[in-house]
Amino acid sequence: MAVKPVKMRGKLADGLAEIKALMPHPMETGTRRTEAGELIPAHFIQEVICEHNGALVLRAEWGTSVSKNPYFAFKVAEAKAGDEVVIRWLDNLGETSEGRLTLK
Amino acid sequence: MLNRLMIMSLLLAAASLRADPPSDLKAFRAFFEQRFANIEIDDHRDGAYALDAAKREQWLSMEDFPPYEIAIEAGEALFAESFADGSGYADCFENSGIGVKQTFPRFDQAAGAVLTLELAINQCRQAHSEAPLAYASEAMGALSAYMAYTSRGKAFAIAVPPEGLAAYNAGKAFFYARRGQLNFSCAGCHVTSAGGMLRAEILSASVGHATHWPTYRLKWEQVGSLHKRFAECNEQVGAVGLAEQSPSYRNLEYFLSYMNNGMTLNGPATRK
Amino acid sequence: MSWGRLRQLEGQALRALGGVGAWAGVLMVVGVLTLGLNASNSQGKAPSAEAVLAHAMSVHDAAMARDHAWVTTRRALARAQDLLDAGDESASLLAAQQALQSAQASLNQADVEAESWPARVPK
Repeated sequence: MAVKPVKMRGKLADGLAEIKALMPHPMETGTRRTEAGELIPAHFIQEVICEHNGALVLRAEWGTSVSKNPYFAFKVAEAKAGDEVVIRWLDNLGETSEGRLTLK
Repeated sequence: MLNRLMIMSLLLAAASLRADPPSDLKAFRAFFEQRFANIEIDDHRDGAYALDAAKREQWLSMEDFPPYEIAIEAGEALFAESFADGSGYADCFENSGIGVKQTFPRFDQAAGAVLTLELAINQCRQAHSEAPLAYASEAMGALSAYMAYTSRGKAFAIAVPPEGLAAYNAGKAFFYARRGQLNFSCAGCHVTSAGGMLRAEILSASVGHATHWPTYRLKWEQVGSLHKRFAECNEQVGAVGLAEQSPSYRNLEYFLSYMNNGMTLNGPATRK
Repeated sequence: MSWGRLRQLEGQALRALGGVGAWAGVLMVVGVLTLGLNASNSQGKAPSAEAVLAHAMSVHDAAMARDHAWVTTRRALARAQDLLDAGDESASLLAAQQALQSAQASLNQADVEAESWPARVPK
């Protein structure tokens, strides 16, 4: 399955940027079975990194309790128009993807 | 006593069948206008979110970045793909398939049965020697979501010609009949008890039930159809659910969509 | 008690109950059916699990054809079949009888609802 980019939206107000992200990802727990009874291998995002103008602002460690196509929102302080926010994820199979947003 | 009851029931049955769809629609809307005097009929397209402020707030914050967005994008790509013979979905629908959902379901005179959008999608595929899509598949959900999205803002325009009356009435009977071990009818919860509570959930009104499909149910983690919801609901009251696109569910969707005539389409939507 | 009289009483009971408690209605129907079944079986030999299961399946199919089959019937049928396959004749017979009662109640619901649904249409 092709890796999809992170979709991002941002709202800037009074130096505070509210970032919303939608990350297409199967987030398989590894405990589900196919119709035939075979286990579907675990495939989930393990690490999420957010950078504001290249500086790390958030790091999250995720597990199998996060559901499919995670929706993730957070706020970044001291933000202004023109700043770049990047969200990058790494999953347990070594796959990675990212999304970039320039604040307006 | 028993004879009198039977005669009364038969007369009521006859009277209900004599009632035509436009009269049914008028009485249906009037019921909800009276029950929910502070809510516009069209607002019921948001279901329980039109009835509870807290749920509405949570839902609106999700609408900023709805989970069905991924399905719409996937659907748009699938819709644009050509079949092996060079044709595409645009060749099977009026207006190239853009903004047509508000006229589905419709009565297919040639087939003598109700034609839903999902059935039409598969008929299109089969007419061009493509394998049909499973109704519960993500691909069907995506295509349906995209086509529904292009009809957002349009008003339901369902037609019931004389030939379609039997199917409409079959759908009507299904809607009002009690079923399952719990002996609930669709109407029992979504007409009579609309606005009331069913365990921890608020019962939404039937008026507005057909506008927002297909729907991304958080429970399903994918976009699913109205028929999938019918089956789920039926199983919850102890009745064996029917297969997607079975004749009875198509008739039910036909009746339900007609009862939502004039309402604004707002699919695809997010629901719990 | 004849089968005809039984169904008449059943019909009256259901009509009398009307909207009063789905559970009460169902329990009454199942209770009345149980009496009927026991009465008719006391005359001859005990039926085989296989026979009752086959009968239950055909009544369930009839209810299915009218879109009124119940989940409880489906479950009891599966249980009865599993028990029969495992060789437990008496447990299977019990499950098959439960399936038959559930199937008959569901078919009865189809009959009752065919007449009573028009009364719920908003005027």
